[in-house]
Formats: sequence, C-alpha cells, structure tokens
Amino acid sequence: MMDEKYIDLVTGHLEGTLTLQQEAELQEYIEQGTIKATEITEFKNLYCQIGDIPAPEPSAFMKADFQSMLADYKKEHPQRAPKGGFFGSWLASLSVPQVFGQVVFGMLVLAIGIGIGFRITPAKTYEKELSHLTGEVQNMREVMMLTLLKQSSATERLKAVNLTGDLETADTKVIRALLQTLNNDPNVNVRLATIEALYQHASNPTVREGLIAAISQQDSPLVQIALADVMLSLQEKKSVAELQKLLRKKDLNQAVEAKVKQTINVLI
Amino acid sequence: MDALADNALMLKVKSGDVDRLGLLFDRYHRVLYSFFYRFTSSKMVSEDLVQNVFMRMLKYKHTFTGEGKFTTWMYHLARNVYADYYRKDSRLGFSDDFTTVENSLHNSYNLEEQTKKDEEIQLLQKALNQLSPDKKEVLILSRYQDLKYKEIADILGCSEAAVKVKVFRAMQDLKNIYTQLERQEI
Repeated sequence: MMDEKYIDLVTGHLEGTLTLQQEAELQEYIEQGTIKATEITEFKNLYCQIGDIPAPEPSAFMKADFQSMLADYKKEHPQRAPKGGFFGSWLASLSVPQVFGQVVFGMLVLAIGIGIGFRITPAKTYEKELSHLTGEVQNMREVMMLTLLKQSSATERLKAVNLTGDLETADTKVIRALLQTLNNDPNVNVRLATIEALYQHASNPTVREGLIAAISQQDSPLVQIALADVMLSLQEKKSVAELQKLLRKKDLNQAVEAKVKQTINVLI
Repeated sequence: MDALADNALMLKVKSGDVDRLGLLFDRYHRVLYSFFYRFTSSKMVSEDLVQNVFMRMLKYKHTFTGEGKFTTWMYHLARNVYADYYRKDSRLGFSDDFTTVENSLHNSYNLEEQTKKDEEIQLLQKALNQLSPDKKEVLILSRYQDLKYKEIADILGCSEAAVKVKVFRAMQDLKNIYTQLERQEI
C-alpha cells in the first residue's frame, strides 16, 4: 500500500502536471524503493485504461425531446418584451410595432456591416479568401477524421465518426472510410454512430448501396436493427433482398428477426 | 474564450432569451450523457437525467451569477439531479443497457490481443462499479470529463488537496478491487 504522504506526487503524475523537479523527486523515491515502481505503473495503467471504457452516444431523439421541453417552458413562461433601449423607445413613441422595429434595426446594422466590408476589402478577394478558408477547414476536418478512425481507442474512433457531422459535404474518401468502419470496426457503438453519420449523406447513391450491402455483413443485433430502421426511414426497397438474406442466417436474434420481417412487410 | 461564451449564453438565458439554451445543449449534452452513463450504465436513464439538468437550468437560471465557469454550475446541477435519482432508485449496478457495452466488447476482434484487452476493460468496468459513489465520481470527473483537480474542487466544493486525496484513495481501492476480480477470473 502506497504511503499517503506521496499523494501530491502520485496524483500529479496521473494528471500529468508534475514539474520537472517533482518528476525527479518521484524518480528518486522509485529508485530508493520508497515508492514501488510496479505500483505506480499499475496506477498509471489503470488510470489510462479507464478512459478506454466505451460509452454509447446519446440517441438522436434527445435533441427533439429537449426542443419540446423548451417549447413547453416557453408556453408556460411567456417572455416579457425586452427593453428596447433608445431605438426601441423611439420606435415606441412612433407607435411602430416592435417586430417591425427589430427588422428595421437588423437591416440597418446589416447595411452598415456590408458597407464597411466593401470599403475594407474588395468583394472578390474577400469571397475568394473565404472560400479558400472554408475549403482548408473542410480538408483539415477530413484529414483529422481519417487519422482518428485509425486509432485503437474506440473513443477516438467515435470522435472521428462524429466529426463527419460537421462536414458540409462528404467526398468519396470520407464515404469510403465510413463504410469501411461500418463493416470492419470491432466496436458496436462506433458502428452505430457510423450508421447515423452515413444516414446524413443518404442522398448519395454510394452511401445507400453501402448501407444495403452492410446488412448481411453485420453480426450485432443492435446494428442489424439500426440498419433495418434506416432502410425503413429511407423507404429503400432495394434492401429487401439483403434483409431476406439476413433472415436466413442461423442463430438470428429473435428481436432482429421480428424487426426485419416487419421492415420487409412495410417495404414490399 | 469558450467559458466566456458559455457564461454569456447562460446570462442571456437568464435574462429571458431561453432559446440560447439550445446552443448550450448542443455543446454539453454529450458530455453530460457520458457523465451519467458512467454512473447508471443505462442509456435511457442517462438521457432522462440530461434532460432534467437542462430543465433545472431553466428553473434555477436566476441562481447563475456569471462568476466562475458555466461548467462548474452545470456539474453542480448534474450532481443534484443524479443525487435525486439515486435517492429515488438506489438499485445501482448493472442494468440491461450495460449489455450494450458488453456486446461491443464481445463482438470485438477475434485477435487474441484485442480479446485480452477487452476482457481487461470489462473487468475494469466491473471494478469501477464496485467503488463507493464518491470515489467513482471523482474518477469520472477527472478521467472521463477531462476536468482538472482545481475544477473538480470547485464542483465538489472542497479544496484541491482534498480532491487529490480522493483521487489517490479511489485509485488505491480500484487497484485492490481490480486485483481481486482478476484473481477470481483465474
């Protein structure tokens, strides 16, 4: 059992906030045998491993539930009219409706902004720079996503999949990486998040084909059900053959079987 | 910068612009979900608890002063929400939803090395669940929520030194439980 007088050194070591001097002090205790090297290594390993324990992503319904809660709240607590300041009271004195005032004020600010923008930077250069910058950010996100997808930690891979939500468009490279993840990732939660990410790009035929092809390749009941749900929501009739193939699988989970049968019935 | 923006948003919510809470929801619902999931191992309960936190943000918005970080205030609310849930349903432990994590581990690679790692993680999850709630909490806050000891101290309302003692003791307990479970497995 490690002595509690080394708490500062041990916790600092875990948090990674030790100064060079404290590191040297800790090292000295380890060399002297006052602190067992194996014990400190075990602590550090356990502490790092805790971070690898996977946690699923919240469902897509959460946002909708939140919005409905917010709407209920607004209904129960009607908002007081905010004080409009000088501009507001001036408009009020003219008996101008507040919404109209807000629109006029907004347009005024916008016009001033555009005017200043035109004066400072020529429009074409500005647009060119903006599109260049947007392109660079998109590229950066893509590179980051592709790098994170190769990480051994499921949490990192989940982050990668979630990054695709920020991509305005997904190019072939990203789609291919996501489909590969869907078919090969060992972690069910990562695969579920991938389905959600791909669903956002369902207008792309490659994505739809990839999702259909994935149905019979999956062995996790959760993923199989999620794919059936996607097919239902996309009304993808082409998936019927793959779903039927899934039904023929031995040891198919009963819940999955029921879900697939129901999906096929709706799609046909 | 983010903390300033969070505070500014919450102050707007406080002043009646409740729609701004949507931005804070977008920023923090995942973090809170993960926080609750580590305690409850239940997807459904965690989602409900996250919702409760945002409901309390609206209910207690008058208590937000703008001093200190928004996240500290948020975790105060989250801890209270969890404490209420814990009081109502003290049957903590492995729920049905935990099978999600287990499934994900079982469905993992066939590679021997990966299987071994998965088993270790599964064992670690079991060990974590056997820790006392206060010890588990301090590890969740420092390891999963990526909070510094100073921030945890603000949330728990104690000194940084006290947080270090809690982390140290939690790690010692975790190691002991983990070793015991490992022996039982053999």
